[in-house]
Amino acid sequence: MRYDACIIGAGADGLAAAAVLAARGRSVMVIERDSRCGGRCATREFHPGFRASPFVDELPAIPDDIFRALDLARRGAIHWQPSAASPEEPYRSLRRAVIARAMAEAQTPPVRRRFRRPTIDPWPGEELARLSLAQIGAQPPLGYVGERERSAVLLLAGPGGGMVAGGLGRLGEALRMAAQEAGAEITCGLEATDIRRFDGRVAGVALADGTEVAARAVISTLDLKRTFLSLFSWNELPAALVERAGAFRAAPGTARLLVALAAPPPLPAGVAPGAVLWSASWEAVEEAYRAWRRGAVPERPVALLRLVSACDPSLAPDGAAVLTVTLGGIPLAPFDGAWTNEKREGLREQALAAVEALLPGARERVVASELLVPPDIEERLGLSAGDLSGGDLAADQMLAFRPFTDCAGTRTPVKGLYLAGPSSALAPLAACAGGVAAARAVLSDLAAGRLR
Amino acid sequence: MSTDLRATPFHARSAAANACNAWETRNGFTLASHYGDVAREALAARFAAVMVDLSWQPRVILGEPTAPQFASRLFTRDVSQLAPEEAAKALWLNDDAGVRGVGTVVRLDRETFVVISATGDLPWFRDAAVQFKAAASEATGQGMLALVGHMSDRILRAAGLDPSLRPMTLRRTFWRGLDVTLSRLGLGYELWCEPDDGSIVWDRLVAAGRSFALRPAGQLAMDILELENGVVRPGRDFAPAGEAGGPTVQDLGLSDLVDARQPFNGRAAFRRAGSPSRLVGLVFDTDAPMPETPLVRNGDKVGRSLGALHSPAMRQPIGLGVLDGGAPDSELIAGSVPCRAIALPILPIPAPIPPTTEVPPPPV
Ligand SMILES: Cc1cc2nc3c(=O)[nH]c(=O)nc-3n(C[C@H](O)[C@H](O)[C@H](O)COP(=O)(O)OP(=O)(O)OC[C@H]3O[C@@H](n4cnc5c(N)ncnc54)[C@H](O)[C@@H]3O)c2cc1C
Repeated sequence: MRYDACIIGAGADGLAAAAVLAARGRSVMVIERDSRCGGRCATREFHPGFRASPFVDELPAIPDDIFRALDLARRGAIHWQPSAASPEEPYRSLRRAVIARAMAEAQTPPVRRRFRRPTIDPWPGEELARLSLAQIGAQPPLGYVGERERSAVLLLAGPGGGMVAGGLGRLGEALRMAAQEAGAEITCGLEATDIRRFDGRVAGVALADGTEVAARAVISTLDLKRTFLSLFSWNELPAALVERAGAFRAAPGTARLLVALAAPPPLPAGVAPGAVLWSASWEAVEEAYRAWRRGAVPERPVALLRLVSACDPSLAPDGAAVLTVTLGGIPLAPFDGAWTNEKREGLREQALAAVEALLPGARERVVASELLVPPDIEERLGLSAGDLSGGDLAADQMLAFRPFTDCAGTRTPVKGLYLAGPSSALAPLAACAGGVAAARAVLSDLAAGRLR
Repeated sequence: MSTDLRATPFHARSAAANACNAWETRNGFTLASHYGDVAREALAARFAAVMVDLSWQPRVILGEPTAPQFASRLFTRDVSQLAPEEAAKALWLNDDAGVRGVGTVVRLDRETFVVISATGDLPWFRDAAVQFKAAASEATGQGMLALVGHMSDRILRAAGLDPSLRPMTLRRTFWRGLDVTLSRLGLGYELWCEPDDGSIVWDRLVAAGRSFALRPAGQLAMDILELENGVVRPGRDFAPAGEAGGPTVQDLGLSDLVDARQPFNGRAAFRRAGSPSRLVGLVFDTDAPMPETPLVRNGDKVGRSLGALHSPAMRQPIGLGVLDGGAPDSELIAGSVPCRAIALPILPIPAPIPPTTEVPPPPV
């Protein structure tokens, strides 16, 4: 059978795209390499009785209209209210305008004439973002921001969507249900290896078991490099495109430490349950960033702590607690050789020291911990460089420039191939939005006869 | 209903916790509307647990040996069939089958029932009791603290109380020196205590709930949780009937609370009032319409809306409505607002947990 669309990756973006397409009566096949759906929307027991979402604690916020249309609350995804401080004006309105713009372009593609540069209005917020990012100098590792670059980051990195009751895995399940109940088919445990082309346009997806899924459109939720550099043979695409994808810069890597505590440490006064704690100075952030660029593990990695069980006690056994530590500026491949056990132990030690500094008394309560370094994240999620944000936050990699101008929005230079997922324009602003934009573009192109 | 302001047994603790100093009055009692952010208080019940002061809810005690016969004729379900320590939800109607009240009738022992509701209606119960040589009086002063959320069992156990209790039952128990009653009559558990024991009960729960993210929640969060669970309340979701007329059972979609095989006050009028209607949940795309707004499907009026609120968990306004016929899960227009009718509860608590598939740990 030939599907209207084949979606690569069953993370938040892929599942949202599948639900939107299937709800409109289109035939959809989602291909997922892992044995379960959800991608980073995962939660697991990392020590008997202790659970955590290993990759991230929260996604960027899912826009309300998408959240409602997919009926995610009734499917079990209850989000903690994002902190009251995050949705500030004018950024909130600007972000809405950016999403609206991307959705509008998905529905009606901008006219591009041959031999002439398309005249496209700049995206909302472009000037503001460029201005503020120009002031930053060295890009800060994702999430670690001081006053200086506030405005750009507020605009570009949408507010967190908040923790999900029971862990992010519940959101993954809710999205899976939304997709399947709308009629999408999902195949887990099988990797997409190639995007097949015929007559200059996408024809389907080849899978690791040698079979192929024929499709009129393909939505990739893999990052830019995986999409263009590993799903096509090297000489199949125009050199300029390959070069452009190769030049896309990854964000500083992150490591995660999941910590099981025998009892909750006292939280400093005024800290809301489930809030993020961090204490690095701007200098420490810059130092960590410089170390990362050299390929070195920073001496004082920037650590973000979250006592997740203080908000969601279902993650820990009675009376115990779960803490996650997100470490910024961690290299994928240290300059002095790959991640050894010794290096991992060193990093774990640094992380635990950071925990003790921020939450005195926590260290002696540690029962067990599990460390994930960038290669683990790369391996588990199939993300280039283990970069969870799918590309650095920089003036030339955002808004209409994300991942690059010919790919702005969701359509790519390859006919019939659409990009959602972490490298797509909307990924930093909102979860699921990139997937929905891609689905809307496919719907509009199918209806207009642009896809055969 | 008395008009002077009264304090509940938990007032001292509630006042100390009420950082917002946001108060309201229900049935003459001063109560915390919210302690902090209303949305977070409602969400906290879905992440952990909240405790809410329900002591304001009027409780009418029906007593004397004739109380079973009396209660059996008064309510729309035969509560004389309840075993001691069992409870049932029921209505009481006027002669025109107008709904005077909705409440939970608990059988305490052979000769005593207690009716818990939002409206009380004591004078009417008193007048009716005379004809049956029964007695109706108000239970005053007792504290009732609700514990709502999926951590409730674990908190009760940590506090030294046995949480194993069937829904719609209660158990009187001696709790480290206190006479208390533990019940499951609403969205979670309720702990009833003597007037002077309020602060001790509150403190014990707070201590037991510390590692379970227990927090106090105000009346507004409870309103949200009740609406999400499809609880209709007179005074909030509809204006109750008086001596005559008023909204009928059918008008409110409450036929499920009526057992017309047994006699009760207003049965003849109830039977004349037509076929059963259905109480449904409504989810709105934009602002909810006023109560009593007609619900329209394909140009035909098919029902009307009752109360509505914003649900932080659903991230949209939700409400209750009555459908004259037809199934929920349909698209409707309420006034000018598109909405969807869905079967109740809109968002149950505790939510049924979908099976999650575990990810294998990374290879070492
Ligand atoms: C500034 C910035 C801030 C961000 N903040 C956050 C944040 O706070 N939290 C967060 O989670 N994200 C964040 N992101 C990332 C972004 O929002 C992501 O796009 C989104 O969360 C990930 O959704 P996804 O479904 O595309 O990816 P994933 O959840 O990674 O899912 C991808 C899926 O594809 C599968 N897959 C991989 N390779 C193959 C293959 N060959 N064949 C088949 N399947 C395959 C994987 O197994 C996985 O299930 C941020 C990004 C930026 C730039």
